[in-house]
Amino acid sequence: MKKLLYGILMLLAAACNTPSNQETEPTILGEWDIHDTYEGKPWTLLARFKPDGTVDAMANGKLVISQKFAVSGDTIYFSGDPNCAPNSVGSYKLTYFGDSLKINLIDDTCSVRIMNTDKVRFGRVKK
Amino acid sequence: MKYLLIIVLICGMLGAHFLYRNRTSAVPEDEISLGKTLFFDPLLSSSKKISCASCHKPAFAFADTSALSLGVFNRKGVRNTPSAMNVNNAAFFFWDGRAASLEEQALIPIANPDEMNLPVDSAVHRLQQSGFYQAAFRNIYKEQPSAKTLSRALAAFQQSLETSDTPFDDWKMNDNQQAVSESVKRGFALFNGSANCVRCHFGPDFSNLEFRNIGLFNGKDLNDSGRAGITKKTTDLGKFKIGPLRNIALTAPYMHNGMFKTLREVIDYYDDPDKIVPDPINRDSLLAKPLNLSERDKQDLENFLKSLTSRSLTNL
Ligand code: HEC
Ligand code: HEC
Repeated sequence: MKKLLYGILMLLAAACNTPSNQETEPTILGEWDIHDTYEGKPWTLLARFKPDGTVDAMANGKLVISQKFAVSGDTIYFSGDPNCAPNSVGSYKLTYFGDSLKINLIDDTCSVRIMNTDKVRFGRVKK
Repeated sequence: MKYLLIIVLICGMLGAHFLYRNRTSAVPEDEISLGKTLFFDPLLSSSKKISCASCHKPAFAFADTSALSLGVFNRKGVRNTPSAMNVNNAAFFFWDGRAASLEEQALIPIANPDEMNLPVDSAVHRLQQSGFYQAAFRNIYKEQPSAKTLSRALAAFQQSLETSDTPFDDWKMNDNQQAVSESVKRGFALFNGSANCVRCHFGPDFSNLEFRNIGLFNGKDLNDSGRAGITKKTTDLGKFKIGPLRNIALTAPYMHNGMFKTLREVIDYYDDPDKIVPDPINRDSLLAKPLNLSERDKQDLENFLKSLTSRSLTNL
């Protein structure tokens, strides 16, 4: 039942991501990054949201995680994080401010994903 | 004609050797090059014949090619030598995680009777007796050689051995679809999905901060209890550090005991562990059911693992 619901959500999300929408509304697709410092050294996390519904996150020249996402309206659903129980899905609210993006927890039971995702603020990577 | 070629080759080798000697005999000016010199120096073993590099061989991603390495006087160790590269993200070292930092780790093989067999004090004394090392340590640390600076230099060298110049990284980092074959992409999808590998092997080096039991402990012929030897907890029986997978194609044989000779043997094991070890103790539930991988799946997984090899090492 849960799986079915998720499947429907994915379909919905795919429908919302048609190119005609992208021109008017902000889209998560493409590259976003976070600049921070870790133990005194600059640290950048790059997230690449791809049209096939996977998002790759990279830091220090290495892939850190490759997971699945689906967007529906201003809600994003993440799944496939190895830190979380299998089939666990977390939902987060997306807020766009011009060239930046904020992600806030709606509903998730996976503490590691919450820690890595809630209140994260990304900047759009300019090509 | 043939002989001439051989003579030219020999001269070339001698020349290279000479150059190498010459280069290393210049007093190192930074931690990394000092650490490198120490890593290759048999002075740190009782017999003056074994260096870190005797077991951690540069051409094999600083791992060894035999299941168990030989230390001083050909003494055999009890575990397989892992790669000393890509150690920056590790939270602990050794298969059972008994060292918490590279600095702590570095002095252990020096004193280990089966490895270099030299008490750390004696090692430090030897360095202090050497004009070359006196100069280098004073230059870099402003003090004479000590256990602390010895371990710092060895750690610094190993920390410089990061590799992210693999076809896989080119694919992921640069979104370069041509960097890897379709088979590698399918292999990664399996690894990251239905084959469950990612549930243990994840993060930048495909390891993570846990110890797990994949079923290579039965208390009989497979009797290394791993993490339990340190924690004394029965729940840790047979658990080992999750082997990081960068440069894995170069570091055969595999696992804490080196029991698998090829990546294919590793994949066949994960496909149906019971076929190879039917009586494991405490095996992880992720390996409860056979994966039923097809021949193509296995080839794809293997190709993915091979795509994690650094270009700098392929070109050696
Ligand atoms: C006789 C062979 C031998 C020599 C010499 C040797 N090692 Fe090792 N090394 C091993 C083995 C075997 C292990 C795994 C032991 C275990 O897990 O209990 C290991 C583990 C390590 C690890 C941990 C890697 C990881 O991912 O957990 C590092 C780092 C390392 N050695 C560095 C060194 C340094 C530095 C030296 C020289 C001071 C050295 N080794 C000398 C055989 C050797
Ligand atoms: C339950 C967690 C778990 C799963 C699932 C898992 N691994 Fe492992 N892997 C480990 C552990 C722990 C080790 C070290 C085990 C030992 O030495 O006894 C290891 C070792 C390895 C090694 C050898 C590393 C070395 O340096 O010798 C390879 C290669 C490997 N795994 C690949 C895979 C692949 C491919 C899959 C998926 C088919 C997979 N693993 C699934 C935990 C896991």
